[in-house]
Amino acid sequence: MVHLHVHSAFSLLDGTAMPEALAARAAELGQTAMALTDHDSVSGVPSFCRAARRLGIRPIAGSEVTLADGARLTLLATGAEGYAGLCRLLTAAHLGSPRGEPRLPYRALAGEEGLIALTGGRTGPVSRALLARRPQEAEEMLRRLRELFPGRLYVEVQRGALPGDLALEAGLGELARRLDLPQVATAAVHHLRREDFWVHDLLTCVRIGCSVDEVRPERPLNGERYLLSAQEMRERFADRPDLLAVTDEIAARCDVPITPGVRLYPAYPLPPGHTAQGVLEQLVHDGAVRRYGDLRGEVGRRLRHELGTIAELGFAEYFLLVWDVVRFARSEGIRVAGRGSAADSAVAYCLGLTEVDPIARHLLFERFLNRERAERPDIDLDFDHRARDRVAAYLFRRYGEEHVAGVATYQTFQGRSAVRDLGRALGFPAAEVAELQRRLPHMPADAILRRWDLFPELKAASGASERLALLLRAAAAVAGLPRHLGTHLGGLIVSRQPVSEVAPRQLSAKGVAIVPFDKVDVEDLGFLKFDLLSLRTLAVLDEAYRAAPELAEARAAEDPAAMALVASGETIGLFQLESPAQRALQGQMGAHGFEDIVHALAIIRPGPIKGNMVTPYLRRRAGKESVTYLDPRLRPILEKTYGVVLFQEQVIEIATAIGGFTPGESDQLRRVMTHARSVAEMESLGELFCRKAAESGTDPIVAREIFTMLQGYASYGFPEAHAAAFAHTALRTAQLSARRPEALFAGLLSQQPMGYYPPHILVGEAMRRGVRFKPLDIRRSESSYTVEGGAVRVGLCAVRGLGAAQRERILAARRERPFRSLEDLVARTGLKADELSALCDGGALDCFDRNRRRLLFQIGAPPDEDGLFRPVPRDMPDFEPWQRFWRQEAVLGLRGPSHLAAAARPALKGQGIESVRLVKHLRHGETVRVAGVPYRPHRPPTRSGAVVAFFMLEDETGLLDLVAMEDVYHRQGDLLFGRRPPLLGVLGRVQRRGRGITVRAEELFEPDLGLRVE
Amino acid sequence: MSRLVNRPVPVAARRDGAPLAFSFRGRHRVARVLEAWREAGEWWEGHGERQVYRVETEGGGVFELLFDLDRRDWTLTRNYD
Repeated sequence: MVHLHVHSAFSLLDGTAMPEALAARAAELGQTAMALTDHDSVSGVPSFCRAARRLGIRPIAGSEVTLADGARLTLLATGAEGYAGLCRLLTAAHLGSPRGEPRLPYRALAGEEGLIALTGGRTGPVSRALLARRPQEAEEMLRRLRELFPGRLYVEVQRGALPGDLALEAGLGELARRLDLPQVATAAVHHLRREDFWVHDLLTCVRIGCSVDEVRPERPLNGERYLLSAQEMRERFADRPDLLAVTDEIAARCDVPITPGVRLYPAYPLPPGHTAQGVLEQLVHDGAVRRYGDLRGEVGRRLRHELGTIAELGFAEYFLLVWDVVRFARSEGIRVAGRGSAADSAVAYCLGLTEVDPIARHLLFERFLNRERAERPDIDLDFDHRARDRVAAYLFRRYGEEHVAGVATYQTFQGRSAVRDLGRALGFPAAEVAELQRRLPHMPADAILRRWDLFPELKAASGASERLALLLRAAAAVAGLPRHLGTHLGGLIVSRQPVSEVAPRQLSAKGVAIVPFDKVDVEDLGFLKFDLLSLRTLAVLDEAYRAAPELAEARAAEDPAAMALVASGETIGLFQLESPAQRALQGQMGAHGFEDIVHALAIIRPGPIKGNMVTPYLRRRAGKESVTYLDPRLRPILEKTYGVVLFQEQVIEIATAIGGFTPGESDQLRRVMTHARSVAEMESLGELFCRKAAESGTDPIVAREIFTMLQGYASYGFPEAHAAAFAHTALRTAQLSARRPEALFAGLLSQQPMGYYPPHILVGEAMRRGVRFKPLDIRRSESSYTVEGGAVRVGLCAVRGLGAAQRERILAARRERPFRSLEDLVARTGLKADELSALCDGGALDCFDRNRRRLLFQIGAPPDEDGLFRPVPRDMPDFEPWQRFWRQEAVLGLRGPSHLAAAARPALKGQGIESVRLVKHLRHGETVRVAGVPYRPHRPPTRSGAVVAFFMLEDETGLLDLVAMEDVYHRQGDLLFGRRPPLLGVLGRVQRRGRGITVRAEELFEPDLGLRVE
Repeated sequence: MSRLVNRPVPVAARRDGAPLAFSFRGRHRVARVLEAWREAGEWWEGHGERQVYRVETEGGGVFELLFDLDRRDWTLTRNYD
């Protein structure tokens, strides 16, 4: 018996089991083959095939497709050709219908000889007519399907214990006999086990947007649609064993749909008589002469080695494709930078794809590409985000629409999304769900239940109840299941043969054709994936260099001003160096060279932080602690990082030097470590490491200690090449910040949202650094923030509710002649009242009348929160300063000099509360009371598992880093993550480390602001 | 037309669970099962699955009987005219 109608979780918000789990359960039940037939999708097929291969099950690809009249037909691919046909049909269904509602015309089914059809369940075209008591129509439909699938059509019989089953089965049997068609048994599997029914029902409620208390026909009635064992199927069809025998006959007609190891790489257009390898070698040679000059010795050896590997693995065309894209970008003036492990390649460096010299840095090419692993290389390129669509369009033009497509992402249920969706379905009030979701830290959906007690603010948001316990159990049950398909930002596949032959295409929300597979699955199918990543920092640099052209070609890495700025810890606005952890590190570290920046970028990562490596690194670097090695062979590997493992390359080198790992084994270790994969995988590699190390004479205890050290590094570490590539960009922003801060901050503010801080913090920081700001002004502001006479003019882009089209209308009208009055502005731009109100609250219309309240009245918007219209008295008073502050902040997200803390300062003083500026002058250990707008409270993972809250307070004088240890957090965390008063007060002690300063909170409180709302 | 009854009733059943006879204002012997299906019940309230039978009695009446698989008891839910 073979299951031929099976839905996985890729039947989104319907199936409850991942394809791997279904395959594993089938194997456990001793089944030898199984089909996967998700709704209008083959997204689960690659992972299903991978798992099936591993488990010794023959995978059959299929789909339950929705036809033009809404009926559903089960299609099975008889092999690779049938699978290609299925992809063509799904493409037609998706691209020929409104997005998200695929419908396949019946006529499209003709001629797909590689497909077998089953008539489907109750929503099948035949059953549907029978259930509606239209037997004539049912017979006609069955005849039609028989013509479309001659010798390949089976009448599907499901016994799902539903009302009307007996009559339906009798009707189907009668038709099958009359038309001489075989019948087959299926279970229309939607969940793994009977007891998973509730998850299936709950997901259905999420999909159709109802709560469990509502009766809806789309909801499943019972838990019969699970993966039955052969014995259970025999019992269910005890009187019709012949229907089960047919499942085996059909399975025997179906072959594996995907051939592993197929390569669908695009053909790079070559000049006649040339090979890809030949063209590549010539380009590399030319580039090497430019980069190195002398190609003898080490450089020549390295390039020959790399080119040899590339030739052997057949990746020359891939390099040419990437080179071609970079060439196009540069020719268009689009900023582009290589990142990731590609910077380990001298070939990539010579082709101009990366800016890091791997030979000078002794970087391992094998980290990027290795004969043993023979995996596809992955060259990540960052583009100015504004130009990414242009680069993508170039690829579509160069290789043809049919050969290029975007890549999907499987958006899976995480803690917050699970609580939101399932909470509604379980009938929680919307406000309660929203509050719970807001307070929930980012975490996997199955971690909430386990960690519930660690977060006091969660309990405060939602009292204990059975329904809540059910919600948490439900969240755990759906953890990691795909919720919907997203579009991978910048991921494109470029294929030698038309994409639709190998993968269906459908439209993304942006209207781009994508394949419904994620990046892992597209590579599994043999596609070449190309990442057009976007880096907003490149756009910032582009804008900043327009204002500061003298720095565009400067060598930022050698600029002492840039380095001094980084060493001061004043790094807000700097690429990769602006987080509180980086600022604290820089304050202690006192960087004085490029390598320090490379190290800093690599050390503030989850692995080294959780492994408590930051302090030993800093102490050793400062000479306060001696550098020791567990084994003398570690010295040459770890010497440059003071004995601490910072880079992925070091993991590989240690595994090779001590564990005697082959390059493939080393790389597997690196992958397991850097992606924080399973504990079991890690342990098995640890055993291999210790065994091989002992075999080569290493003391077993030392070997274990070294492996423990490597484990400490695990999770999301950087390759050195990547850190070095990012360090270049970081120092460019540092140089701008040191020498032309107005240019950098104008660029940063124009590209929001980006980076770690919102606009008001950036503005505050810029002002503290001496940058002057000119207010928003309808007569002067450009679309972006601009540098105007050494100051930054706030751009129209800051105004919430004012779109790009409106901005363009304003600028176009202004180019004709300046605006004379509010009436003139309205007449020539046609702006609506809400857009004008936003401009007024943002201060853009102060040039017409400084009394914003009066202006708002004229615009026709309610002049006050009470929404009452009153005749305008000529002496209508303006808003109070704090009202202007709130209204301006609401529109611009900027606070400027009229900070709430400034308005409340007299009252704060009366309560003994100091300003941030003063706190920064206090000595280590002093007690202080301080208050400000709380910002970015977060609870990062700690090695001990204790929950520690980090946050910032911002007042009118600056930004302060604070930490609340577990006891304070448990007592008063609600003030940070729950209620969030407009100003938060903290009683705490000053802690100084190097130039860094933090306040360790002992008590949180809500200060009296002394402001009265009339 | 049908009438809601929703009364617990004593039922004699076959080994496979199908009802043979039940008592409701007298004794009724089941002539044939017209339909049988299974319902999940309100799992979110902690209720278990139920097996439902629509039966025709020897007297010609049509009734719906529900067997609660958790509580293992029978309810006569409907009576069809």
